[in-house]
Amino acid sequence: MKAGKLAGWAAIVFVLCVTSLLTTRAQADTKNLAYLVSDDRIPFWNIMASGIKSQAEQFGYTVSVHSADNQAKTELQNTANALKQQVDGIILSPTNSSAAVTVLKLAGQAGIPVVVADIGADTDNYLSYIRSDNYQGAFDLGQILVSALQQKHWNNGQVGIIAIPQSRANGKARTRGFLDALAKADIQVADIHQQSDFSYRETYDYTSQLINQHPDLRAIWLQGSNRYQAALDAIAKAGKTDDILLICFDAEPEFIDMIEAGDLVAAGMQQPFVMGQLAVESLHTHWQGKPVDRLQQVEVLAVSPDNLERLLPTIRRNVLGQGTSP
Amino acid sequence: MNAAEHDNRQGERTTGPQAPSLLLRITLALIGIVMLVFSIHAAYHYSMQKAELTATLENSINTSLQRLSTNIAPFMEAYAIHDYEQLVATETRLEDHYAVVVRNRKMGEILDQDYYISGQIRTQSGEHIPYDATDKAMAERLSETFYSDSATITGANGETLGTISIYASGESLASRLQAVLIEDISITLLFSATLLFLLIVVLRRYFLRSIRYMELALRRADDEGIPLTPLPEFRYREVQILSRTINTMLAAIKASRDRQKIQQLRLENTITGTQTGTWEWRIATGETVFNERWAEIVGYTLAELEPVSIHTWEKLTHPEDLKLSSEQLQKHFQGELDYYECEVRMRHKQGHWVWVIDRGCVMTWSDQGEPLVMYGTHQDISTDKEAQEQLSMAAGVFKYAREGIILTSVDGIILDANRAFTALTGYHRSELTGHRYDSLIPEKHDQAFFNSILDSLRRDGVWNGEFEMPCKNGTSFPSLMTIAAARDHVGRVQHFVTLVADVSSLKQNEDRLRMIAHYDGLTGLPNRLLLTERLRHAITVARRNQTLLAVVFLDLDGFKEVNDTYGHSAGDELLKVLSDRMQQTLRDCDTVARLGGDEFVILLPDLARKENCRPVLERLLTSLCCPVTLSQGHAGVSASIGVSLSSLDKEVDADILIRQADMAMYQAKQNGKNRFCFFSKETADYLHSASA
Repeated sequence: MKAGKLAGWAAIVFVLCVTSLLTTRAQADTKNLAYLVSDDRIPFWNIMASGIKSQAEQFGYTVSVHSADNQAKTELQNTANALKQQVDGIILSPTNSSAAVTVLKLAGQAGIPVVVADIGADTDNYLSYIRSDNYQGAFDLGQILVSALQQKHWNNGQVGIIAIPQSRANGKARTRGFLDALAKADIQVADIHQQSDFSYRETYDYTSQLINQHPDLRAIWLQGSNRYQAALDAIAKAGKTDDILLICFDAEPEFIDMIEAGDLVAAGMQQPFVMGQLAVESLHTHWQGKPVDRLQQVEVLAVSPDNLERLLPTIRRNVLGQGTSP
Repeated sequence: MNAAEHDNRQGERTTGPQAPSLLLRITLALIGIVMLVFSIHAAYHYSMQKAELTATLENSINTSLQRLSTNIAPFMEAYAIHDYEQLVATETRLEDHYAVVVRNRKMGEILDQDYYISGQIRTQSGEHIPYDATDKAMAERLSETFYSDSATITGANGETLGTISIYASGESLASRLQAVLIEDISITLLFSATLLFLLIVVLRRYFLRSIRYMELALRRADDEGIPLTPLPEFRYREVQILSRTINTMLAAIKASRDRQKIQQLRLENTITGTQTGTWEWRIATGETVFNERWAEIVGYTLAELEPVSIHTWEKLTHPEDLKLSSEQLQKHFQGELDYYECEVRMRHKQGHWVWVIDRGCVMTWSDQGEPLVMYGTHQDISTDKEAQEQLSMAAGVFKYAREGIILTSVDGIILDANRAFTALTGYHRSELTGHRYDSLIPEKHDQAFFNSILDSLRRDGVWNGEFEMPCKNGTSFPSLMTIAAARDHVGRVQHFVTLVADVSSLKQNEDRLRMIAHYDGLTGLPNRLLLTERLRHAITVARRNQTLLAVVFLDLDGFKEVNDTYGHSAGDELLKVLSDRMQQTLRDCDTVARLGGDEFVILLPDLARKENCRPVLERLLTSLCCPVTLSQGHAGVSASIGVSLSSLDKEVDADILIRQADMAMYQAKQNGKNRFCFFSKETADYLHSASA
């Protein structure tokens, strides 16, 4: 009798202990994440936030998104707030690489792991840096362009480049990848112009100069996507619409149709959704006590008429964020 | 001695055993000088650098403050924290600030702090790291910096954004100064070594090599260290002048040495020749140096007197003379006497005293006027002393003798005359000295007389004789003169000494005695003795001259009656008168002598014939028969005369002639008196028969 009662009490205590332990464990695994983003009004960042949220949800983490609206002060205030909230991890897409240093510094002082996404930081005290594989993307684009030129027998034609600032790491990687591809096919580069204010006029003028100065110009590679229209207008203005190809890096929603229509040879499309997911996964891995690669690169989709149809679902989800809950 | 030893000795003589190397000395001196100069320069450079570094540091801080405060402001306003932190890091690194701290007020507001503090600080390893305001160690290091300055960061609208402070550490300055010091030391050592090397090369090339050649030439020297060969000709003027000057000096030294050798030889010969003892006395220490002769004078060898000192001299010197010597020395030391001179007696090894004349002079004086070294001589004057004593005695004789003494030179100049001589002659001494001796001699003395004197002096060194000494007043007196030649030790005549003894009294006595011996005391006529001498002389003369000598024997007739009548005094008076009459009757060359009583003998020499004497005989008879007035009355006598004649053919004895004359006188008496009768053979026969 006594033995039966004692065993009953022991069973109760055991159940209580296990329950308590499981409860504590469950509470411990609930992480609060903060996504410090430069400006979530920009689709790229918004899609990345979706990827973050999507993956956090899978891990049962909470995410608060703090947009700096491209203001440094706001970014810092967001950082201070996140620190005050004692978040467990931060995913950072800073307004610029320099500003990231201060954020990382403050987070580091607070002992909070930070994963930097897309825009890098001028420091390395982060858990991991996730970015697009710009070299690979640009190289693939270059090969697509070479193929297109060869099909048109414009092998002797030159290619003009309107680049984003080459001070940026992604700019350098894109230029290097693209040139390597052209070099393999022995395609000559006419000239490179570097954008500074990213205005329409700037892109238009650069395009016009390339066309005017290089009569044998057969293609223009635009390293950014937002001023593609300026380039098209300049080509049209020069009466070279049928003589000069346009190829872009990054993606705009209308690029799918343009590629399909042949107005655009190809586009290198980053996958912000995937990058957001990978950022959360990195934190999760870290909290699990596993090693995390310091640099993680996400494939850039080189979309051409040849693979558009095949990649379209992926593009819609990972590039355009379509079909994902914000 | 082999060549190497000779060279070594030459080297030691010319350079001394421990003489340092000129090259080494010059090298050390150059090292010292160059190091000193460069060290001074380095010290000066270091101090300047220190001041400059301090100023540069302050200036750098101020400049950085201005630059950073200006450049940071826009970033601070734009909340570009990392951008201005990079500026700060760059500035800190470029300017090598110890620490730069930025206080951002606006960022502080975001973080609910006064300031957001960031910056850079240098670690001990020299790296710049971000400044962590929460790190107490860093804060403490900031508080220990020796210099800091701050500036306010102001926004575009004048708003104060924060402050910036820059810190400089002493370590940094010390480190820089240490670098400067190391650089200075390195440069100093490098430049010094280079300069020294070049200087030594130049010195060796242009200077020391010449000296080396000189040294080699100078090392080949004789035993006295005088180079055997002249220095070679050199290329460079200064060394050439030196070389030629040395050669000139060497030639002068050699000539001087030769002269010195000659002089030294002369001096040594003089010392040896004069048998002079020499001494050197170091007065302060009593050390002395004597030569061998010094010891020899007192009968020792120098070795026997060793160790010598001034006590050696004191021990050997007569105590009384030592006192006198000491007094003389003190006078010399005090400047009262130019030279020290003292005659002292020194004890000879054999116990007797030796007279030494000690002379000397202090040759070295101290700056305080104390005598240091004195040099002098010893001369044995014992012989001189004896001579001096003898001379002193001679001087006494000369001075106090009753005989007149004059000293004449070999040339006959009167050197001196004593008081007795001046008293005898009436001359003053000054009237004699310096005059010729023969000026005193009366002209009556012929040259033969003087020659005989000189011959005697040359032969015998002395002459004795009677001499009629003239007096100043024109009179003279008979003197017994002795002239002696005074000779030196080699026999050379130094002077003549003439002793003049007044023999007037002796002469008078002699004359008186001669008169007594040869003359009749009553009549003053020659007596029988003198008659005999004169007769013999006359016989000789007559025979030599082939003349006749008549010997007249005269006897007064009637003299006895006069004696008997008037007494013997009247007879004597009569004899005197008749003697005078006979002398007046006879010739100067005739001699009348009184034999005694009333007998007289008359010699009539130089007769050519017998008959020539008759007139004289006649005059005699006439003058003698004339009456004579006596004191007591008148007396009249006559004379009976016998005459004998010498032979022209044969030598006739004087006594015979007198006896023949006597016999003839007797015949005259017999024939009637008052007549004369010549001796003849008949007379002799007659007298012989009469006596028979």
